[in-house]
Amino acid sequence: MPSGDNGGLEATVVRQHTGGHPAERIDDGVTRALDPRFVSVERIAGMIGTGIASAGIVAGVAVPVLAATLSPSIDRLLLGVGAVIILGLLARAWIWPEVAHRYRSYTVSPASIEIRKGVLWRRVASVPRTRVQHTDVSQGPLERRFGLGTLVIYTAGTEHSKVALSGLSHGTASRIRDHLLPVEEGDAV
Amino acid sequence: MQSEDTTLEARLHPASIAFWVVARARQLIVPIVVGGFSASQWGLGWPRMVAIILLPIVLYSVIRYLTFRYRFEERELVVRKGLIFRQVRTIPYSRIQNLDAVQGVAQRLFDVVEVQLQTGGGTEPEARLDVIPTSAVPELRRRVFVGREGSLPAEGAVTGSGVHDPRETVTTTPALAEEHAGDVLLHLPPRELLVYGLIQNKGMIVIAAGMGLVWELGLIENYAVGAIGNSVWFRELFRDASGAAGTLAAFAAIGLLGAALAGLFVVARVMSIAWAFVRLHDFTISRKGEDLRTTFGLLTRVTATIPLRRIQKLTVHEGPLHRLARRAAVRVETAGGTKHESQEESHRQWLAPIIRRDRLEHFVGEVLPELDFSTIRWEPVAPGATRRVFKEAAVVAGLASIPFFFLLGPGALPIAALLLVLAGVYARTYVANLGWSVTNGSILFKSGWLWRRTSVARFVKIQTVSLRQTPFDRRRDMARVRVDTAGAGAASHAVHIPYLQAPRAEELAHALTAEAARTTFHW
Repeated sequence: MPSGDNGGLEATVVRQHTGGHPAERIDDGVTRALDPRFVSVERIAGMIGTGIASAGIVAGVAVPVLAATLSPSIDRLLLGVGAVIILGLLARAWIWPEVAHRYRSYTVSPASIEIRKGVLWRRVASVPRTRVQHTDVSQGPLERRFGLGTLVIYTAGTEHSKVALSGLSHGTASRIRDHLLPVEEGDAV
Repeated sequence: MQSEDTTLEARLHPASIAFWVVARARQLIVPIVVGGFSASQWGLGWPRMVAIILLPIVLYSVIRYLTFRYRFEERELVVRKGLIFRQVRTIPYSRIQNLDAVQGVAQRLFDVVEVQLQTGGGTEPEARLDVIPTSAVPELRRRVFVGREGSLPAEGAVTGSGVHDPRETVTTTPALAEEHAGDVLLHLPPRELLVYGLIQNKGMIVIAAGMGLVWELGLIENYAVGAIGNSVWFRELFRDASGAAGTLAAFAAIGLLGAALAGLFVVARVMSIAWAFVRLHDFTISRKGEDLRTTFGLLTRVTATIPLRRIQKLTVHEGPLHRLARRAAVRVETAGGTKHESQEESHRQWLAPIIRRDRLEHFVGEVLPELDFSTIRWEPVAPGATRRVFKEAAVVAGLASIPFFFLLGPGALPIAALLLVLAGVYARTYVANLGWSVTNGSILFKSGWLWRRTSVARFVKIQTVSLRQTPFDRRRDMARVRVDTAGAGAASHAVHIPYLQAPRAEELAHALTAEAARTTFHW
C-alpha cells in the first residue's frame, strides 16, 4: 500500500480483487486493487521487451568487440556498459509491475467509475456512468492465458474519449461492463 | 433498403455539376497546367490535353448529380448516392449538431447554396448538399429542426457549425437573411469591424497567402537570397551595435530596419481591417427560440445555426488589445467536426468575434440562460502557486539567457536580469489571473497571462473528470483537475485547473463527477 507520501492521490485499497462471484455487487463504491495476476502478465511482457532490446544491445556490442578494431580497454568498457543496461532493464521489468500495482486501483460506485494509476505522475480518471458511450472488454494472448481482460470505456470527450482499465479478471471486467451499460434509453448524441 | 418513393426525393440543383467540375479542376490545376504545357511540347495541342484531363471530371460530376438524392423522413434525413457503390445514409434529425449554409460569389449568381449537416463525432460533415436552391434552405431548416424537436427531450439539439470551409466566402441572400427574425444579440457595424481588424492580427493571413502566391510564381528566390545575405549582415550589425562602440552606420541600419518593421506592421493591420470587412461583413447573431443563428460575409455569405443545447463549452477571450479597447471575443465549441477546427478562422464558432465588454455579460447570459452571474465566486489557486510558477519561469529565463552569454560574455548579465524580472512579473500576473468557480450549473475556469480566457462548461456537458499529480505537485501537496468536454479542439481553452491544494482538488473532482453523473448527456 502506498504510504509515507504527504497527501498524495493514492486511495486506500480496501479490498483485493473479488473472486468474481456473480452475486456480489460490483458497484459498492469499494476501492479495489487490480488482479495480482496482472503483475505476472506485465512481468512477462516486460521480459519479452527486455529480450528484444537485449538482443539489439548484444549485437551492437558484439560486432565491434569481435571485429577487434578498438583497443581492449574500450572493448571492456562496451561490454560493461552493455551488461549494466541489460541488467537494469531486467530489474525494471521484474520490479516495476509490482510497484505500479500498488498504485493502481479502481472504484465502481452506482453513479461512476474511478480509475487510479501512476507511481510518479498520479492520475485519477472519473467517468460518470451517464457519460459512457460504449465499452469494450478485450483480451490479449497473455491476458487470455491468465484469465484477465482489459475494460475500455468510451466517452464523447476529447482528451479522455477512451479510458482503459487493464488488469481485471475477465469476469470482473465483464461485470463492470454490464454495470456500466445502459442507464436508460436516452438519446445520447 | 428504403422505399423507392421517388416523389418525395429531391435532387441537387443542376448547377452542382458546374461547381463540382470547377472544384475538382481547381485541385488538379497543377497537373492540368503541366500536362497542357508538356502536351504542347509534344505537339498534341494543349486544348486536347486539357480536355483529356477534364473529361473524367465532367463525367464524374454528371454521374454524381444524377445519382444524388435526398429526402426528408419523419425523423431523419436520407441521402442516397453512388452509381456502382450505392450508399444510403440516414441522419436522424435529433443527432444533427450543425446546419451551415455557405454561399460563395459564384453560388450567389446561380442563387444556390451549399449546405453542410454535422452530427457529433467524425471529422467530415455527415451530409453535404452542394448545391441546392437557396429557396430550399428554409424548408430544410424547418424540417430538420421541427423533426429534432419532436424527437428530443429538453436537453438539447445543436446546430453549431463545425468545419470551417476555407475556400469560399459567404453572401447573404434574402432567403438566408430573413432568418434573423428572432432577437438580434449582436450586430457588428463597420466601426466594430475596424476595431476587430486592429485587434486581431488577421493581416498576417493575407500576407501569408500573398507570400504563398509569390512563392508559387517563383519570385521568392531573389528574396530568399537577399534574406540569407541579410542574416549575415544582421549578425554583424548586432555585434557592432551591442559592442561598446556602436557605429553611426549601425544605428542608421537599425533605424531602417525598425522603419521597415513598422511599415510591415502597419500594412499588416490595414490588411487585417480589410480582411475583417470582407469576411465578417454584416455579422449578425440572433437567437430564435432555442437556436442561435449567425450570418456574415461580404463575398461568401455564411449562415450557421447552433442550437443552444448543443454548446459544449463557451470561452471568452481577452487579449491585451481587447482590454485596451474594452472589448472581448466569445466562442463556443460544439461536438460537430472538431478535428478541422484547429485553425483560428473557424468563424462559425465565434459567437461574437468582438463585443463591447459592458455588453458581454448580457450576451453570455442569452447564450447560457442558466448561468447565474451573481453566483460566480472566483476561487484562487493554492497560495504556493506563485513561487512554483516563478521557479519554472526562472529556469526558462536562465536557459534563454545562455545564448546571450555566449554571444556577449558578461554583457549578457543585464539581459539575464531583465528576463528574471520578466519571469517574476509573469508568475505574479499568471497566478493572479488563475481562478475557478463552481456555480449551480457549471464550472468556470479562467487563465492566461496577457491573453486571458474564461471558459464555462456546464455540468451536463462534462464527460470525464480527472485528477493529476506530478511529483512536483506532490512535494507541495497540490494537484490539478481536468474537465473533459466533447468537441474541444487542440487549441481550445481546456478546463485544466492547476495548483490546487490536493484535498481541495479531490473534493472538486468528486463534486464535478457527481454533478455530471446526475444528468444525462445529450450532445
